[in-house]
Amino acid sequence: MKGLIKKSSCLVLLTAFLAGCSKNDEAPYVPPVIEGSITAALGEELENQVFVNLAKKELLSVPAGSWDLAFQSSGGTAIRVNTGKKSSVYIAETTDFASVTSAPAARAFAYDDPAAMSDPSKTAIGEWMAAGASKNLVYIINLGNDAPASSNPLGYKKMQVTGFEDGVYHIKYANLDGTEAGEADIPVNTRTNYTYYSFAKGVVQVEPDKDSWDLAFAGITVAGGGPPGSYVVSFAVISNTLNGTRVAEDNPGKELVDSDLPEDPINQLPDSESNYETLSKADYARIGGSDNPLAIGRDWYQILKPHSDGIYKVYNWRTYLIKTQHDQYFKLKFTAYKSVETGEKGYPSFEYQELP
Amino acid sequence: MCIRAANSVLLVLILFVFPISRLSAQLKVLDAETGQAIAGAFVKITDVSGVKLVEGATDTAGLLHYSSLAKSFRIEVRALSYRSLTDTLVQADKPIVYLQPAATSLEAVEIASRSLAATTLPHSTFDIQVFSSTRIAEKGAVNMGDLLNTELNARVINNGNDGSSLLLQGLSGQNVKILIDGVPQVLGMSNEFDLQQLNLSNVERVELVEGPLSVQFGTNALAGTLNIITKKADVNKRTAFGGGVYAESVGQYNGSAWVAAHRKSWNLVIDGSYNNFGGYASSIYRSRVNNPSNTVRGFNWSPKTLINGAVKIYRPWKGLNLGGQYNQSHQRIDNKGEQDAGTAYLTATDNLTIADRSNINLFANGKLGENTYLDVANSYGVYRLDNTQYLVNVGNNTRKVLDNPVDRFHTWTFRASYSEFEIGDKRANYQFGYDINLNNGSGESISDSAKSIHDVGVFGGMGMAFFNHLDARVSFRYIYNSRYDAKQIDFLHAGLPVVPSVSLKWHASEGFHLAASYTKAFRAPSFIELYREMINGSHYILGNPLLIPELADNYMFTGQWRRHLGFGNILFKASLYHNHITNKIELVQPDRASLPPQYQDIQVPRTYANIPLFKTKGINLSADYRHGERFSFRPGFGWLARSGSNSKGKFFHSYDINAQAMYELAKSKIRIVAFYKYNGSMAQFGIDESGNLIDQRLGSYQLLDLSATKSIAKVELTLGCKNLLGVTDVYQSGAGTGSGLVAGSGDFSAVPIAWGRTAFLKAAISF
Repeated sequence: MKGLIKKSSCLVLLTAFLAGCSKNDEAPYVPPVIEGSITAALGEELENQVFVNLAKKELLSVPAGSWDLAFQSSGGTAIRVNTGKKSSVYIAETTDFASVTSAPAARAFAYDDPAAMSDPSKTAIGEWMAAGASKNLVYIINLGNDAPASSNPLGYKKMQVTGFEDGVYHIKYANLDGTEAGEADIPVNTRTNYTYYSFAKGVVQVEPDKDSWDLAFAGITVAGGGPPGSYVVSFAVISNTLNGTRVAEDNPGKELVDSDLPEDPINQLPDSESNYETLSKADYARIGGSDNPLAIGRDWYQILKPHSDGIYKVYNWRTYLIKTQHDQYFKLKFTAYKSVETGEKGYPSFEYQELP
Repeated sequence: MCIRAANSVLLVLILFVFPISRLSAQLKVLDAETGQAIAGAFVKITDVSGVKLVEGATDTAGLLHYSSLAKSFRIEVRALSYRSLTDTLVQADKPIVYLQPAATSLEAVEIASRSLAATTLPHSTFDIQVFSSTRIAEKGAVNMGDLLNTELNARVINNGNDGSSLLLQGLSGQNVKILIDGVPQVLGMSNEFDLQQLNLSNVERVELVEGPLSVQFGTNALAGTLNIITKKADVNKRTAFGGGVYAESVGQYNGSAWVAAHRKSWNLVIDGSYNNFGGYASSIYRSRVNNPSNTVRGFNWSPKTLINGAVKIYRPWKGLNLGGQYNQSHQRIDNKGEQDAGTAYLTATDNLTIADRSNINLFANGKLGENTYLDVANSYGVYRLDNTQYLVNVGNNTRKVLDNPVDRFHTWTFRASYSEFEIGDKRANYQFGYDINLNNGSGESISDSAKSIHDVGVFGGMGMAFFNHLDARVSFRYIYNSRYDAKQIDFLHAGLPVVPSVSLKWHASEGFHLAASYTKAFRAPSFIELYREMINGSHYILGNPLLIPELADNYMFTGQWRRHLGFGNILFKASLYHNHITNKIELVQPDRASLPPQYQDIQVPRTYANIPLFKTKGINLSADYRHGERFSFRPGFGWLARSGSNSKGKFFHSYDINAQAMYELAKSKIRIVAFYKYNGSMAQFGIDESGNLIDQRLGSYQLLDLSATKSIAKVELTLGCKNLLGVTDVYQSGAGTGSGLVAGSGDFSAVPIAWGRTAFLKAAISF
C-alpha cells in the first residue's frame, strides 16, 4: 500500500511538473522596426496632440487635455471646445448666470462639428455675438474626460463670454453650484490660429506658431461608437489649412465601398496597389489640393469587426500629396496605427518624402 | 438515441424459470434497451429443486460459458444497475437474457460508481441516458462535447477559443448541473462548465438526466444533470491497471493511464490523462486573414493542452465507504493572433489562458441497512484563471507581456443525504439531506465590492406505490441564500422559500408506462453575473448586483412503450417538456440612457439583466429497434420552440433529427456504429435599442460519424471517421443581437461548428 501511495505521489508530482512547465524563461522582447517611418505618440487614450513640421522633420507633443476653450486669434471670434477630450456644450437660453445650477441629460449637449476647424460658424457655442455685442448667454461646458478616450469625467463649468475688445476675450465662469467662480481676460496670440485657455491654468500654449506646422495629429469627437446619436473620440489628422496647407489624395481604392468587414474588397486590397513610389509634384497638380483640414482625417484607417478586437487596418495604399504653406511638396503614407513597442493604439506611423 | 436507463439498483436479483429443452454452451446477458453486453453479471443456474448447476460471472462480451444442459432451469442473474425481468423466454428463445434498467429499489453501491439513480432517483419519472465506456469509444469522444453532439435535444455550442457549452431543452449550460461520481461540481465563477474541459479518458460511464433535479441539487439542475462516473477499483483484483491512446487526424492526441489496487480493505485508484490538440483553422477563417506574406498564425479552434490527474483512496467501514479524492486539472489554451494590420503586420497579440482546477473531496457513503443509504461529501475547490496577453514580434518571435489578469474562485461544498427504500407493501421511500455551498472569488475581472455567496438547501421527499401500478413521489427543498431572500419563491403563497417537485409514473402494462412531473427551480445569480467588472476605453461590462434569482417551472410528460420480439426489443419513447422561467439572467446590452453619462456612448456596453419571461417547449420522439444482438437502429426527432419577453412572445422553432445504427459482423465480431444528427437552424433573438425584435439565425448542419470497434484480448480498438460530411464553419444570417449563439460571433458571418472530416484511432487496454 505504501508503495502505491509513493507511486501516486510521483504521478501527482509529475502532473504538477508538467503543469509548471508552461512558462519558461525566454528572450526579452525586441520590437520590430517599421522601416522609413516615424511615429507620433498620442497614446492609447489619445492623451497627446502632436504637431508635425514636415520640412524640419519635427514633432511637437502637447497634452490633449491641457486646454478647455480655443478662441479664434484672427479673422473671426469663434470659440471651440476641446473635442479632443470629448468636451461638449449646452446653451442655456438665459443670461442669468446664477440661475444655471444643473446640467441637462448628456444627449442635450452638442459637440463642435469637425468642420468647425475650417468653418468657425459650426462650433457648438456658435455665434455668441449679436450686433457687435455679446449675447451673454450662459454655456454649460462638459469638460469631457480626463484621459480623452477614457471614461473618467472631468465635470462641468458654466461660462459666459462677456465680450471681445481690442483682441481680448472676456469670460466669466464658475462651477454649476457657483463655486470657483472667476473672470478671465484672454488676449489673443496672433502667431497661432487659436488662443487656448484652461479654466485651471489660464491661457496656455498649445499650438506652435501657425507657420511652423503642417499637420496636427489629434483626437476629435465624431459621431459613432455606438447607436445613433453616439459620439466617440477618434484619431484624426488635421491639416493646417487655416494657414495655407493643402492636401491632394491618390486613392487606388476609391471605387471600393467603405466597410469594416475584414473580408470585403476594400480591406483585402493589397499594399502593392499603392502608387506612393511613382507619385510626383505633377500628380498634386493633376489631382488638386483640398482646403479641408480633414482631407487626411480618418480615412486612412478602419477598425475592423469585431471592433472589440481592436484590429486597425491601415490603408497604406492611400497616398497624400501635401503642399505646405511654404510651397514645399511632400508625399506621405501611413504605415501603422499601433505601437510596435507596446501594441497600444494611438501611435500612428507614417512615411513621407519631399517631392522635388 | 441511446436510451439506456441505468438505474438505482446496483445489484438486482432476477429470478425466473423458463422451460428450455436444450441450452447451448453459452449464455449471454444484454442490456434490454441498448443491447450492449453486460460484463460482470453474476449468473446462477439451479434446477427446479434449487440444486446449483452453474455459477459464474459474464465476461466482457456478456457471455457465460458452461456445459450443455437439457432441462428446465431456474436462473438467477445479478448485475449492477439492472432490475428484474418479468418476461418469460419461450422455448424457441436463444439463451440471451435481457436485463432491464430499474429505478425502483436501492442496493449497495460501489463507491466510485455511484449512480444518480442510486442516490437521487428512486421512482423517478426522468429518463436517464447512459453513455458507457463502449459508447464513448465508439464515438471517439475525447470530451463531453464530442459525446453529446449527436444527441437529440442537446446542442453543443462551440466557441473554438473558449470551449464548448451545452444547450439542453433550449436552455443554456447555466441550467445544466455537472456531477462527478455523484458529487455536484461547483466552478465558483459561474454555473456553466466548458464541455471541452470534461475529459472522458478515465470515465467508466456518463449519465444524463433530462429534466430538473433542482430539489436534490439546487441552483442549476433545471434542464438536466450530467453525472460523470470515473473508473473504480475492482475488489476482486489486487492490482489492476490500464490505459488508452487516442489519435485524430486533425492533430489531436490523448493518452491516459490508471492503476487500481486493493489491499486488505483499502482501495486506491490513480489516474491521469494528457490531451493535446494542435489547433485548426477553417478555410473561412483563413479567407478572412489578409496580410502581405499570406501567413495564417491563428486558429478558430485554438491549440489546447489538458492534463488531468486524480487520486482516490477509500475503504469500507460498517457498510459505508469512507475515503478521499483529489482531482487536479490544468488546461492551457494558446490563442494566437494574426499579424496586426495596425503595426504594419510586424507584431501580433497572443493570448495564453491557463485554467487550473483543484478539488479535494472527503466522503462517506453506502448502505446503513438493507434498504437505507447514506451519502456524505465535503469538498473544497479552487478554480484559477490566468490570462496572459503577449505582444509578439513575428519577425524574431520575441514577446512581452501586455496584461496578465488572474482570477481565483474558492468553493466549499458540504452535502449529505439519507435515504430509505422499499418500506412495506407500498414500496414507500423517503430521502432527506442538506447541501451547503460557500463561494467567493477575487481578481482583476471581479469587482472589488464582490462579496461571498453562500447557498444552503435542506431537502426531503417521499414516494409510494399505489394500486401496484402508480408510483407517486413528492419532494421539497428549503432554500437559504446569503444574498437573496428566497421567500420570493412564495411557495403556497405563504412566503415560504421552498421549491417542490411532484411526479407520477403509471405502469399501464408490461413494457408501457406514462409519467408526468412538475418541478420548481430557483437559480441564484452566479458570482460572475453579480460581480464581473471589465471597464476600459471601449468596454463597459459589469456584473449586476441588483439581479434577482431565476424562478422556473418545469413540466414534463414522458411515455415509453417496449415490446420484446423474437430476437430483441422495439421501443418507442416520447417526451414533452415545457420550461417557464421568470427573471432569466442574460448578458444584454443595457439601455444606454441608464448608464452614467460618461459611459453612454461606449462601444461595447453589456450587463447582466433579468429577462422577465423566457419559455422553452419541445417534443422528442425516438424509437429503438434491436434485432438480436448484432443490429440496432435508433431514429429520433426533436422539436424545440423558444420564446419570451425578449422575443415579444414570438416563438422561434428549431428541429433536430438523429439516428444511430449498429451492426456487428458475425465472423470478426467487429461492431460498426454510425451516428447521425441533423441540427436545424436555430436563432438567437433579442430586442434592439429601438425596441425592435431582431434575430440572428445559425444555419442548419449535419454531423455523421462512423466507427468500427473490435476487442482483441484485453485491447479494445476503435477506428473511425468523424464528421464525414465535412462540416467546418456554419453561416449565420440576420441582423442579430450582436452576439449570436456563439459568444463573440455576432460580427461574423460564419461560426466554428466542427473541424471537418477526420479519422481517429482509439485503443484501450486493461489488466
